[in-house]
Amino acid sequence: MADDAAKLDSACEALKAYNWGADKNALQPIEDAIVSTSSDAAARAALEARLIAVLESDVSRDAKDYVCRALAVIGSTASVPSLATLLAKEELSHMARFALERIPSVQAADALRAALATVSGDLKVGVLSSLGNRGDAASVTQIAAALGDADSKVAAAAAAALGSIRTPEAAKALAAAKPIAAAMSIVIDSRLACAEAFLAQGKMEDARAIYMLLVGESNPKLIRLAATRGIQTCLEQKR
Amino acid sequence: MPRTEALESVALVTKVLAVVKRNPQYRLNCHRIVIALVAIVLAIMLLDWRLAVADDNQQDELIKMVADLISGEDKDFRAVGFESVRSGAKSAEATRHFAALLPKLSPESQIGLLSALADRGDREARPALITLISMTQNEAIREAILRAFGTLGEAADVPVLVKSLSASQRERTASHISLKQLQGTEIANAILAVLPTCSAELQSDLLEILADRRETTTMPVMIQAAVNKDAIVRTAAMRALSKIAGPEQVAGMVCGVLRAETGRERDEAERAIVSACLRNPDVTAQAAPLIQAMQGLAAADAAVIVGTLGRVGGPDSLQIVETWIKDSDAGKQQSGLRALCNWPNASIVPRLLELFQQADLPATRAMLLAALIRVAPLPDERPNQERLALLEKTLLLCQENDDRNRVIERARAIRTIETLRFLLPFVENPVTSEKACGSIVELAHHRDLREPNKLEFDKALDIVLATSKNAESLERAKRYKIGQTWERPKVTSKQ
Repeated sequence: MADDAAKLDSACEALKAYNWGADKNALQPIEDAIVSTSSDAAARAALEARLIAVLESDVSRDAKDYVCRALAVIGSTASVPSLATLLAKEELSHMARFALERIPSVQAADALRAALATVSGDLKVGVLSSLGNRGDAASVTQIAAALGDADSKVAAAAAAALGSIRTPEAAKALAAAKPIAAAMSIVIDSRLACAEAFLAQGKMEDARAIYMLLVGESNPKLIRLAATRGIQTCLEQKR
Repeated sequence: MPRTEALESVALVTKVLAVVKRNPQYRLNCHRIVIALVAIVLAIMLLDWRLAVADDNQQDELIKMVADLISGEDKDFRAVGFESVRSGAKSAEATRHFAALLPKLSPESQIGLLSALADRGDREARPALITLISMTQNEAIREAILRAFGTLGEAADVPVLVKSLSASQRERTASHISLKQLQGTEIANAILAVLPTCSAELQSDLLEILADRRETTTMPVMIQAAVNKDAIVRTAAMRALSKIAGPEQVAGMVCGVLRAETGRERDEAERAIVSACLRNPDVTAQAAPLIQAMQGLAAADAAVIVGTLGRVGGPDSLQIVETWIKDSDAGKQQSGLRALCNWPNASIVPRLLELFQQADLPATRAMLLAALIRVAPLPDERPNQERLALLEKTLLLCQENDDRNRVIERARAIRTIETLRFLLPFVENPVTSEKACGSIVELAHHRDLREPNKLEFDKALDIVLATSKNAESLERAKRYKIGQTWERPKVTSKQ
């Protein structure tokens, strides 16, 4: 045990000086600790605290990348504040999202949602995407607000996120959306995704309402075909 | 489901009433309990009824939607409608509605709907097919109707399908497939009922269909047809029997062999008997039914059947064949020799060689030599070197170039690099050159032989390219040299 602790200490020290291309074997004790603490909450919390300390220190981008990957596996609410501060940093935002997407606590979603108000451009696209990947129903209102964004990438990312969340509220927001033309195809795809989710859940009326919206002549033919098939599927289901 | 629940509720009411009857303290509230329970049951039944009505409305809406889609001009939307016909709205009523659309549609939509109804497989659509086929002369639509009969038809549709076997090629093909596909125990009888009224060509088709349907109960009719006065019917009957007959039918099939004209028909009939004999899983008893059938035959007929016996092979057959070869009667000797020359494997090679050395008559020597050339390279448990050595030995017995060419042609059956080396010298001789080139490209066709010996094969193929005048050999040599394969021309079963 003492031997393992010494090795972990040494690995944490090595991590502080870590850069891509350096010998990764030096970090192996951290990997081993991630595995060995899976059934020991206290040891895992201690490991998480050590990694957070590295993340908050002045280490290389590569070392912070490594920590984010590790926190994606073992991270808890305790990691959220440190990761949240990285969301606005161009170089590390994606790795912070990588971890926050996977941390199951509500605070992780809250942090991502809060970041929507502070980031823009590609970083906002990423945060929207992460909220979608989490299937975070509580974020629908904030995501829906981005549907009208003048940046087509942001509007499209918001639509895609709502299509991943697939709740009735997400569907409502998509139905009401009037995005700029460049994001419209994603909005339609997401409407179809919601309808399919409702079909799978047996919510035929909800699914049908979306399909009816998409069979109109103003929609592309492929969408009308998909919607027509969807309506048929709704009608084919016995109540 | 609510209907089931209602029934369960009625059962529950009955049980509760039984408990109330047994316990006087509950009797005061008995009428209230009954009223409450009856109300629950009625509510469930009302819900059930309302859902049933909703389901009906939903189905009506779906049927209308599908009708609109398949009546439309856009083929992609029609396809969506056909998909619903194939797998949606699963009720007889829906099928009748869809089928009723047929006469109102454009020809293209009719064909699509017929295909979808066929895939749906609900025989409720059958009356619409019968009406439509009587109304249309459009070949493509008739073809689609005939194809749909395959899954939607029944025994009563057999005459229409049989009649269409004499129509255009498309209708003929569709009817042929549907006659094979029709389900039901009465189909075979329906086909047999029309069989006597058909032309020889049609009878031939129907016999093939019966065999492909594996209608084993019709084998007595096939055996009868094997002695028909028309060679087309006889050949078809024996061909059909070759697909399904077993040892029990061999005695009957013997009459077919005897009735067959010498040459191709007889040859095919004999092969049919061999197929039937070989279906006996007991290898040692495969010739037994034929030997038994031979015993009751007149000498002339037995002389024909002994040749067939040779094709089956086996120790019992060999014993009989040897008796014939040693007979003092020259005719019987010849029949015995013919039987030995038909042998299915190389086990009789030493005997063939012995008889070849003893034979005086050129015709007998030619027959024995042809048999040696045929059996020497047959694939069996012998090593390839032994098979090739036997072929080389046979080559030495050849006096005629035609025989040498046959040896060279048969060599391709021994797929070894030594065979390639054996063949190369014959390319230089103009008399044997083309056959040798043909065998070389055939060996090269087999990648597992060609690739490990690429250098040698490339040289040989270059020689073929420089020597051969045969377009097929040249094409094949070119392809194999650059690592491509070559697709053999397809041979139809009736060729």
